[in-house]
Amino acid sequence: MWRLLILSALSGLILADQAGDFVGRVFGDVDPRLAANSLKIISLEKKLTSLKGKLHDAEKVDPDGFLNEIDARVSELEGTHCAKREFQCGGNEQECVSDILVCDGHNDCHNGHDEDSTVCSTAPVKAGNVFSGTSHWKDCLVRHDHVTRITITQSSRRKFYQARIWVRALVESDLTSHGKTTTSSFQAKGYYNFAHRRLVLVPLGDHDSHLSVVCNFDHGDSERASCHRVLEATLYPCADLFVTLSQHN
Amino acid sequence: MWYVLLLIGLAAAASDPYKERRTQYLLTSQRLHVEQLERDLHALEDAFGKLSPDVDPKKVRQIKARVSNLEGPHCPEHQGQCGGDVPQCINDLLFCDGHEDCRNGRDENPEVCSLAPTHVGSSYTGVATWTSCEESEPHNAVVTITASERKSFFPARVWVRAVLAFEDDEHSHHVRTFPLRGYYNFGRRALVLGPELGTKPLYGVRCYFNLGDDDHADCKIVAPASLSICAHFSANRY
Repeated sequence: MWRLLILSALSGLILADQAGDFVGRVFGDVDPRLAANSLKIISLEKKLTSLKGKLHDAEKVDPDGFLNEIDARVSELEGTHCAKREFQCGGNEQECVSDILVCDGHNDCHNGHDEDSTVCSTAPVKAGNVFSGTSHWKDCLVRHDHVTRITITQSSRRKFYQARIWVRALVESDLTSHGKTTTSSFQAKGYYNFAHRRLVLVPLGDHDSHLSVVCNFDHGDSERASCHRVLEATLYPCADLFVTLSQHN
Repeated sequence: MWYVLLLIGLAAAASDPYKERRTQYLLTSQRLHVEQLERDLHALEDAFGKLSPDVDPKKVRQIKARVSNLEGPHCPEHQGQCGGDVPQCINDLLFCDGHEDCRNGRDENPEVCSLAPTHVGSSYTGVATWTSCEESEPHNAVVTITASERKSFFPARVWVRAVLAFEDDEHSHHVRTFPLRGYYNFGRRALVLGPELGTKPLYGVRCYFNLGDDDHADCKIVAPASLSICAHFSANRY
């Protein structure tokens, strides 16, 4: 379509050449209101382009997600009156159910919150998710801060026991020693617990003394988690690690 | 830049018998351009519509209230906070009494002095979890205001009568009811209820409207004398 228009423009030019007095015709013959309209349209186009840029900025602000995050963090501070290994049924209800009943397909809370779709979201441990962040060691190992990546390699859920997702993952650490960067990695297995939004990964048949990873998705979404490297037996936290989901595309 | 080219071209040629047709070309191309812009704008609007919507102000109010609950009261017992920027405490007998006692006048603010929690017929309900007193599974408990009165010479309290009802047994739907009477305290946003005159002093209720509005309260069923907590429920108005 544009080609056609350009063609017409060129043909116009050719005709103008024949006539000779080019400049005079440009300003003399075109309806000035049409020309003004064109200028307006051009300025509209510019505005539209700048709006596109603004939309890009607007995507970075997520009021709903922000509120969810604050909600999660405030709840964390408020604590629950539920016992350990119990799940509190929603913010308003003061009921507690055991965490092996959460997301098992049966309503156990009066308000059904234990089968809520946001509670039972499997997004945190979808196979292929890559979480990365910086490990800060405060005990157990002498290491500088380094990047750790957790890649979910496999996740399965038993039909007869849906309250957990069994997970396999690859845990990689980029270690820098003597100016060289090496990657230390190990396979891990573990589970994801809906009630506490907790992912537990334990090294798989490894003779190296790799430390387990425990992550809590406590920031109101499935993309961020606060993790610790812990000793498997005592759950003593050796390192802090805050991970975010890497974008897929 | 094609449109400039077009303009020049058509302008140049805009004489002779073709002039009218060229003007038409120009008009058509302008219209096409505008239509293209319109389509782009719609695409942009669609993308904008997919962004997360603005948050519910109610939710924001609740979060704010929860944070200030966590921050804790800065006032000693029997005092209420003036709120706002002034961290002032005044005795809760002075709230909503018709005289401004806070420096910022918050103690006479219509929001603070809202009578909504004590409107006759107001009902607050939630699932009560018993920690003592009753051997009951978590069941619904309801507190309903049946009468309220505010003395003109002492407006700082609203005297209320209410009924506490809770289910005893899920299967028989046997409901136990207790007539209560008490008051609403503006300064602490507390509804305090004890047993009605001449009834067995079994249960009382204390509700704090500390979730940022008049529709949600944190309620406890207590033993009336010791105020020891028997059950706990987060109440919603219905």
